[in-house]
Amino acid sequence: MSSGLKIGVFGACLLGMHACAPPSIRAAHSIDKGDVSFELGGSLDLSGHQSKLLTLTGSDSLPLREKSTTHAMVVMGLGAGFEIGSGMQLMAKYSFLDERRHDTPVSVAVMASMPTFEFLNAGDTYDLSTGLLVSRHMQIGRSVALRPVLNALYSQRDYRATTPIPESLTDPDVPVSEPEMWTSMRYSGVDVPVGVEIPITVGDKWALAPTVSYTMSVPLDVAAGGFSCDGCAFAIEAQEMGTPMSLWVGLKLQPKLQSSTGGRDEAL
Amino acid sequence: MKHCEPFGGLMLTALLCASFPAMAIGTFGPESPDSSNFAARAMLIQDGESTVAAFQIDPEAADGVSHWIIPVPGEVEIEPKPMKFGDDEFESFLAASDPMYLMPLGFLSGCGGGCVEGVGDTGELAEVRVFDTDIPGSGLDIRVFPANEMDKLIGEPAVAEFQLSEDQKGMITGYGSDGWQALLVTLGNGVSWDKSTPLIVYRYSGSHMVLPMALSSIVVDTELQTLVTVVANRRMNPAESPGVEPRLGLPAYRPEMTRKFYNSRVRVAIEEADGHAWVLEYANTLEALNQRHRELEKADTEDMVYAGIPENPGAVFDAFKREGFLSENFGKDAFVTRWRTYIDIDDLKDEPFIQSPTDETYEVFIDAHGSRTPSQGAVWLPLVAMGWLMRRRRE
Repeated sequence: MSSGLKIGVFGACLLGMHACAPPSIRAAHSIDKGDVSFELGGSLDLSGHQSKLLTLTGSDSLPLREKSTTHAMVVMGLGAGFEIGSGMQLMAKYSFLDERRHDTPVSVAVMASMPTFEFLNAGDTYDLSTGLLVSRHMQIGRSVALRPVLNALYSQRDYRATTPIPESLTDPDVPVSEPEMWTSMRYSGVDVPVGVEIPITVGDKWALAPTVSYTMSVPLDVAAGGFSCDGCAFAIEAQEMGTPMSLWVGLKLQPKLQSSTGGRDEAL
Repeated sequence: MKHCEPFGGLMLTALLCASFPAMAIGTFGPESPDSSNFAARAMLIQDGESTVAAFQIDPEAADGVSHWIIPVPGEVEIEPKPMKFGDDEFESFLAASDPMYLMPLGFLSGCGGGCVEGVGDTGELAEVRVFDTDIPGSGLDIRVFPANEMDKLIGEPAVAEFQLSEDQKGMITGYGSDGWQALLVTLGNGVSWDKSTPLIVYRYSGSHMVLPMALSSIVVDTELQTLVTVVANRRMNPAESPGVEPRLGLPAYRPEMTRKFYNSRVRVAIEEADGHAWVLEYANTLEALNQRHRELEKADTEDMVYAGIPENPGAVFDAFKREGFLSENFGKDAFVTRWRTYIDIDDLKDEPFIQSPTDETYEVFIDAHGSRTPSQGAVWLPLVAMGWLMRRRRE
């Protein structure tokens, strides 16, 4: 792929991407100047937050979790260890210890991401994170590698938990095909995604990397705000906040990592 | 989160500052249309060394009820008679202490906050009580039986029709032994499921405030729903049963469901107290109750819709004074406590009310407005300065 084409693809994605940035692990090494990588995945909120309910006959509870969504992002190398990415979020990364550019067993980078202005203006969701990325690339076969990744990110998020309502908690006088409750959530804390990428070489320059990560969080502040409900027959007694955690599974199409270029931006 | 707040300045502030309707929600309405259960409502008013009692029953029975016995824990000072209210004073008094529900205009109704909900939209606000106060007192006869004439009461043909068991007869004679009197009310035309009795009012000696419910076990099918408002110079609590407060939470249900939800939560509160308890609905001074009414009047502006705001909640006391039941200076420092319960037939017993250790105020006030505001204003963190990293950059 020529540099012009790469930049064109990246620009198009920058303008047209509408999916959410993945709360996934991110490897710490950089990609070549002008190279792009594509990420597609889905996250599953496993948080322990729940609404304590008062019902017509007693008490109950419902989980407060973000609806599973598909995420996409395009990342472009800027050279000298810098990358920027765009999806629902803008991402900037700098690899100061880089397996691609340096003779080092691990890569270490810093990263910051923020919502795109379009989503900021929407005011519905908000996600800001910044922190440290660590990864190690281990070639375990001719065309397969294993890349354990550990991130530690300070994050602030406003998001909406979407909770399907079981029939027993619905208002029989207001038939709703898919009764749901929406709850505004606010979170700040330290996310620690741990996971692995398995890059599989595709052709000379590309690798397809199935990725899975599990994020455990140390919340500094987590709270539920306003809510609305469609077809519900209960009241909220309390919002109990549990431990935030999530699972991310995805696929990344990225330039094949060729280690230690000696500080140059071109792969060996 | 606390959703059921004791009443204070909060309500006035909320009413004056927000543009949402105030609604009085129902307090009475048996839920078992196929049973012969009774609903009863009462006032017990302590006036000096005497007590004024006012009772009304609504039998949810297919067959007309023709007779009614009311034990009196004292000596009748002023003969009982049915009150003939001109402007539903008793209704207004009860409405003033009703649980209140405030909601934003159009919220949960698809209006998006821009339209006004009419009272008629709710469907639940009209006829919140089953009592028909238009029942005339004609054909009604009330006789007083002194403590030493309980056998005579039992021998009355009307009472004999009940075919009382020995235990039930013993219950009546027991009242006499304790110095109680009894009223025998004969309802000329009878009352059935779609009617209620007139409000029977009388004054008796002493300040023994007891709600006589034990005899209802003779006629009640499964349960008796009772609402009692006790007016004394202190807050009054049930003496032999627990008093509880229903947990109501922050509504996620549509406004039209409010009455149903509240009534259900009353039952849940009773069940959580092992099936026998009184549910507190209001506790504050009579002056505060009138103030509550005036606040609602202030809130009745063009951009608010309300229902059930009483015309004059204090009028019932004026009527009692006018009829001679209450002394002219009654009302100063009076404290109103309102309790409600459903009692299973097996648990029916007379319930005395005694002074509460404290005069803690309480009201059911569900504000669905403030707590629903979505959280906003996420704090921006500056992005990490990348400059220092540049120093470590290797070309």
